[in-house]
Amino acid sequence: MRDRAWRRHIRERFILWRICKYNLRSYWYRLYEDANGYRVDDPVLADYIGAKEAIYYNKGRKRYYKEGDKYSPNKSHNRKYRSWGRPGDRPNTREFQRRILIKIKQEYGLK
Amino acid sequence: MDLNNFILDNSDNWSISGDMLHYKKIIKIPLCYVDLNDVVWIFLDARIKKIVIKLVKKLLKEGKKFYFAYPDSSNPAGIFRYHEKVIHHYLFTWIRDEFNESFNKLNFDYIGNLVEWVKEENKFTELKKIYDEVKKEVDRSWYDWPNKGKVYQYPEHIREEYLTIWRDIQISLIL
Repeated sequence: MRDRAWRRHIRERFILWRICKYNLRSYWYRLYEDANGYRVDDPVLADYIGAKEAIYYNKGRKRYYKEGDKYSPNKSHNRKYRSWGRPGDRPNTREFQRRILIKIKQEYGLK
Repeated sequence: MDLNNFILDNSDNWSISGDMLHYKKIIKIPLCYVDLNDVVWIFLDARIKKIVIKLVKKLLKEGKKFYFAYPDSSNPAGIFRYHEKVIHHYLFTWIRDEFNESFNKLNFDYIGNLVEWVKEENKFTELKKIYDEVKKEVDRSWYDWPNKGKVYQYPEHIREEYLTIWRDIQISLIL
């Protein structure tokens, strides 16, 4: 019976497989930072959940680029600098800056 | 007080083992337990942030007394220097800005909750010591040579507001 519980079980199994595959135990230099911000010397499965890398386990995308942004990072042809998330996730995009501008306008009562 | 009352929805994620309520997110993560004095202890864990916030909302509605616990204290063997770790965890999660916005929406006095517990346990000297320790963490910075500027670990509003926390603590101690 491929119901909701079955799908969920498969998804959890897949995430666990990813955790094993990428082997994040090799954080020898700065130690591994768990979801609560504490450094863990020898992390176990419970420490991986909710951490920064959990996005990668769930959605298969890496962290945002902080450097090397181009003028139009959301364009589809620009694969290297393109965001894998929603448009406007990253600070150096048009959509993100537009939201900031609207907030500033609201502060001064222009909108 | 029955732990079944704290189950928030009808999903199969909830389970009670021993005296603790667990929530399943890939693995079972401890959520809360009830003290002998009918005080609810919630594990302030960023892994299950949404559930913790919902539980706090429910407890505030019902008017029950609750405090936050250090996540590793769910270990039945116990942890070393329990009081210090709980106080440190309170302040450290405040710095990380995980729950601040949602607690403010609920009109929940997070620092007041900490001070209430410190009053009961008479650990004010340790609170001051840990406050000073965490202040060093808040002001952590390094020099970014390529961009030629100082970079801080935590944002500006956190650094500024952290200085005002000590005043809030003293006010809530008087009250």
